[in-house]
Amino acid sequence: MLYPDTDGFWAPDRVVPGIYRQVEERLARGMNITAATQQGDAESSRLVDRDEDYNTRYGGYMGYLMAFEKLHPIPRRVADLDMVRLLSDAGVSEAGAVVDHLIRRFLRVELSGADRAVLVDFLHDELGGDRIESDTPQTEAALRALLYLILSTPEYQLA
Amino acid sequence: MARFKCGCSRREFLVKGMYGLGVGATLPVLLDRTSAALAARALEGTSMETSPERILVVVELSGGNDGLNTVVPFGDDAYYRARPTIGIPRSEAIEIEDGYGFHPSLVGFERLYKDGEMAVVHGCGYNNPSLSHFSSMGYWHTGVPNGGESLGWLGRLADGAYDHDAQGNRIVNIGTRQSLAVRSRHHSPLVFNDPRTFRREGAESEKNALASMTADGAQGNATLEFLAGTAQNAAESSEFVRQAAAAYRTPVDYGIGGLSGQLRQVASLIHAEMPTRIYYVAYQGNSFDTHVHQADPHARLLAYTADAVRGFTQDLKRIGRADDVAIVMFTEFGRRVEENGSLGTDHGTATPMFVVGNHVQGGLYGTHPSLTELDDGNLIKTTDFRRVYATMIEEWLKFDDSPAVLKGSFDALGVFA
Repeated sequence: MLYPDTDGFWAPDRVVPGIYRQVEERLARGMNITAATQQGDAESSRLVDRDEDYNTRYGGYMGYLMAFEKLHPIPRRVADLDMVRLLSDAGVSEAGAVVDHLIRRFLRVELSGADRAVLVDFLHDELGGDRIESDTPQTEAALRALLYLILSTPEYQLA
Repeated sequence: MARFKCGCSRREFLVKGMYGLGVGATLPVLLDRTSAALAARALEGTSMETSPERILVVVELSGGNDGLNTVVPFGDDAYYRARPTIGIPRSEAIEIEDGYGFHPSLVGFERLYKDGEMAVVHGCGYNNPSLSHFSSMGYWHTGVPNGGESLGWLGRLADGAYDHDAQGNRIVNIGTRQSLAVRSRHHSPLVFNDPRTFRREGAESEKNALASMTADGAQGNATLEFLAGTAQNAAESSEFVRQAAAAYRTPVDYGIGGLSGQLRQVASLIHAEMPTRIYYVAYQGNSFDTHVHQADPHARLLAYTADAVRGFTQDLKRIGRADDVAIVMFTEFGRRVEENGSLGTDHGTATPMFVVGNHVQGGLYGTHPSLTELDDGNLIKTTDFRRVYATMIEEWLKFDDSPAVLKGSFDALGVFA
């Protein structure tokens, strides 16, 4: 992972499916189990609600809760990269040279001039200038974003 | 860059058709004129020329649906001897005809059947059946039991029936992963689970940069051209799908459960005139694998299915596309005849298939397997499932070379009028 989403991320093993999320919300509002688990007006579902001996909806919801209690969270690990140092060691700091260096390093085929220009412009905007001036978290983030773009190109599939 | 037969690129087509107008009531109307004409032109000169608008929707009931408790042979005492606890009482089954009835939670199926829009095909299976989910589903996906085929039957159908535009979006597979059934040599199925998240991750500045990149350097490199075209198609198609799904409004109740959302998405794409002719939807995670205490979970699963399929057909009628769509439902195997000691059923063999559509001649097809003449406790199939596939290929889609798709000749069932 080049850079983790620390704000909007919700671990996939902690997501309650929609029908159980609705049960959870209804229970939180004080509804009883029967009312909280009745869902949908479609005719077949209404009959199942009526005939069910075992409340599969509540059972499913509780199953998720029990699973969450037992599962350990999956740690998010950031890729062990130091882009600033990598480029510093290569002796490049100007935006165009940075893009060219990363293209040579990660791609086997040439990018078109127009696509290269998009990357240079992108890096310029992210850095707020034409050069890597300092080793800051913002610089590292900008370079990782650039690398993400390069790794997202169709050309990278041939690498 | 892939180009439409109108001479415009896909990007130009979408820009003209969608983005220039914004999403709203005008969206389907404009695409209706454009996309339908394109699809029809692509089929000129083929056996499908007379029915270019026909769409096949395949529903996978993953996990091995218990066919005997779905289409209940309540007129056969052997059923109740084998299933003294979990058998569906005659008084509760929804009687259809000839001693058979639907599970009581299949109210939606009852409506379809009694409206003459559902065919039930008894005893579908294949010789030397496998009781493994993985193997048997693979056989149903490829249409080549015990054969080691690498492409899916729907993929081969698309290869044979439609022009070889890999980015033509002839196949849409709604799910968390691509099904083997849609794996094709010449077509790249569009695979997504949730239209809202069917997009590239990243910040807006990154997405804008990627959208600006054209991969023009791909010219002359066939592999790179293919990759660039696929990437471009994925980006543009995801935009189309997200906007079509977001714009779709329907008063029809599809019920709840995963299938309801998937079929609603299919309806939204059909309404938006996606040029897709094969849609594939599936339950996730072997849902129908009812080994333990199956009565309530199975009833719930069948209710989800019936509500979703019935809702889908009602919605298609509402948008005026019911004549263009047929649905086929399958599972990888049925369950053993006898219930097990855990109030459930274990992996079995033959199972019914269902075909739904306005053009279907409703009724029961084939012969129900004997409940007493068994193969090690399992039903002996009476209908090769590839006959149903051949029915969909030849009778519905009007593609006349089903032997090439199915790698053998199988008689269609005469389901379609």
